[in-house]
Amino acid sequence: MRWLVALLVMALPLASPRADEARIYEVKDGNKVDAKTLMGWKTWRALACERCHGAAQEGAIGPPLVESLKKLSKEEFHTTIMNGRPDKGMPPFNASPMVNQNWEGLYAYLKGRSNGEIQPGRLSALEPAK
Amino acid sequence: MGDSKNWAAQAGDYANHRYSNLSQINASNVGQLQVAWTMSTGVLRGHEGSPLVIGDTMYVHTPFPNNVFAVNLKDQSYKWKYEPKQDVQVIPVMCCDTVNRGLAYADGKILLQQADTTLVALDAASGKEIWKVKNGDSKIGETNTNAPHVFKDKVITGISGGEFGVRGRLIAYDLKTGNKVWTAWSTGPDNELLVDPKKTMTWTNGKMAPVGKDSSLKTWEGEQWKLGGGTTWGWYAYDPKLNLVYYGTGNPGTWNPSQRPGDNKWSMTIFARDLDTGMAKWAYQMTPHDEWDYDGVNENLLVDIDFKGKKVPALVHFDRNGFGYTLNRETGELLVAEKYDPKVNWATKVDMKTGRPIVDKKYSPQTTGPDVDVKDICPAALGSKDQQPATYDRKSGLILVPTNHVCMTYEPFQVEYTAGQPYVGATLTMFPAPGSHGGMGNFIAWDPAAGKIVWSKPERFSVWSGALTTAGDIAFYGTLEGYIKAVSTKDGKELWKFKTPSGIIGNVFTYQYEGKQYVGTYSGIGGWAGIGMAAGLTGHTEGLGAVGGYKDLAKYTTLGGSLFVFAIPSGPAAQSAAR
Repeated sequence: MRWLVALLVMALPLASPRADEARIYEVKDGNKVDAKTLMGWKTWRALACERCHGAAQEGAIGPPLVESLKKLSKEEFHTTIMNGRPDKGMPPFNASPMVNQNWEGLYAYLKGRSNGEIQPGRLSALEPAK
Repeated sequence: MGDSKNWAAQAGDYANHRYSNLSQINASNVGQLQVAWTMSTGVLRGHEGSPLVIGDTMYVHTPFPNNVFAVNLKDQSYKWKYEPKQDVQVIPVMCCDTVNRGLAYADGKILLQQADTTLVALDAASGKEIWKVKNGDSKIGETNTNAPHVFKDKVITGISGGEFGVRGRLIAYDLKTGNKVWTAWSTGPDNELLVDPKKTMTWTNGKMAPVGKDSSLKTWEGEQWKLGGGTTWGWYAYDPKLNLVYYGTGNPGTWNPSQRPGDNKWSMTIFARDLDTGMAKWAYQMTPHDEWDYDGVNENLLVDIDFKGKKVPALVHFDRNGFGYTLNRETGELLVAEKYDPKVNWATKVDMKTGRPIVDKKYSPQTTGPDVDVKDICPAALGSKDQQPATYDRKSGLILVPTNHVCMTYEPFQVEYTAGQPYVGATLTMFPAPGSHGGMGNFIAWDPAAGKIVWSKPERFSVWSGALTTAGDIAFYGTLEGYIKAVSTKDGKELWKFKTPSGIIGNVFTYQYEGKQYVGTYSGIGGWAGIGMAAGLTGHTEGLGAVGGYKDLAKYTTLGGSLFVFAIPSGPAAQSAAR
């Protein structure tokens, strides 16, 4: 099955995406994503986030992001990743060039994971539109 | 240590021979071996290393939390127990299980190197602390898995954390006081490396030549050497005549080679250092600019061999990279570098003039660059052999080597350093060497002068246990399924085996008590190969690729933590049964 998800309106009972969150990522076959989201995933990998949040974002020492991202706003996400939660063991990542450059893509990637549309594991680039 | 009734050092001696003169148990009667006694360690993680035996006492150690028990051999009662309190936050920064490779003994003291980098000297008689020092910081990923080694009047220890951007070093403490005597870093400026640019030698164009100024700094970009790795978690050796201590350094920081151009010295290196000052006499880098995580930490066996008609004081090293090296341990000259697993393919050979491997571009993650799967690289990151130590059979002159027979797919990717976070940058999958016997290991006999395999015994899984040879013409080793086996040193023929409750990654040891010889081993799966089971991981690329590779272990064994001791039964019934 080949399909393209454009996140316009999703009938999520608890957290329906706001209008400004629409189309924050594109995904095909669950593992091909737009360039920005791909860099978000690469940032996830580069900072070894899986060590605390689990390889499938299911949670380990840290909370399950597949759940957290259902509630966390983009602003809250930004604050958390930049400042960390030192009291809970999460380091601040504001000194990371990759996080500074790609945090929005990382947010998009984690939203896609949380929505169940992006699969866990390795991702590749969507082919350029024909 | 001179008394073969004892097992007073992890290797039985300074030279890493793991050979015993005891011969009550021998090739003709080993088939009668039976369990003499067993003991639970109370810990269910990987059990590496072995106990020590001094006189009537056995000193047993455990993985994290690194408990120590002094056991009275008369009735197996405890003389004392030492149970250190360690922060559990150390566990997540240990890459490949919470193993500990054992204790050291000297001058009435038991030395324990805890996971949290605390080095403790205990009174061997009472278990009371005599001194205690800290040699690292677990907050930045520094931990210890190595056994401390006592050479002469010094305690030598290292550091783990090659997967966390730790800067490796070897540290010497005064045995009496615990005062630090010297620290020799693996990367950085000359004065911190303890090298003399004019006097420290290395193999250069077919001869030994001085390493020159800034030999490490020149081989890194900017300040990357500060996260340079080159950790020192293996087994060390000592030659009292030359007063040199020998050890290897581990992988350079980040497994993504594109991020750290240069030879990355002195990661992946064998060092020979003066025991008193720490100054390096010579160094030899086996894998310049590592692209595969082929740590150079494996043990160095100090043996005297006949090489091209001359007696040579040699050092033999089975590197993770799949080459068996023989060097002159006095001068550092390279004598032999041959594959000890015919499936090794990342390099076609070692150029004997430059001492450098000739890398096959097809298996080079540096060549392909990040985000590309490099397939069918042999060996896998855990090497043709990891820390599991080999043994030198003094009678035959052969070295018996527990090996891995595993290959990998390696995808390097960009990483960024955050203190205390993994600094790896590669996704791996592992599998048995293709086109072979289907198993993941071999137990081999090696001729160190010729650089040739004499015989090879296939195993289903990697042989992750340290081997022992004895004057009884037998070799012992354990398997990941949990068997302890005895084989003939002549041809590798299996003479005896016994299934223990859990996989064996410990080292087989022997001793004599009240006139009787015993052989023992820990049983407790874990380590890098057994990390899936030990840490409860299931994803096939988890455990740095080992979880998928060794998934079949679950069919054969499960977690455990016990000590097994074997002997030939001495009652009349046993005697007649043996006839």
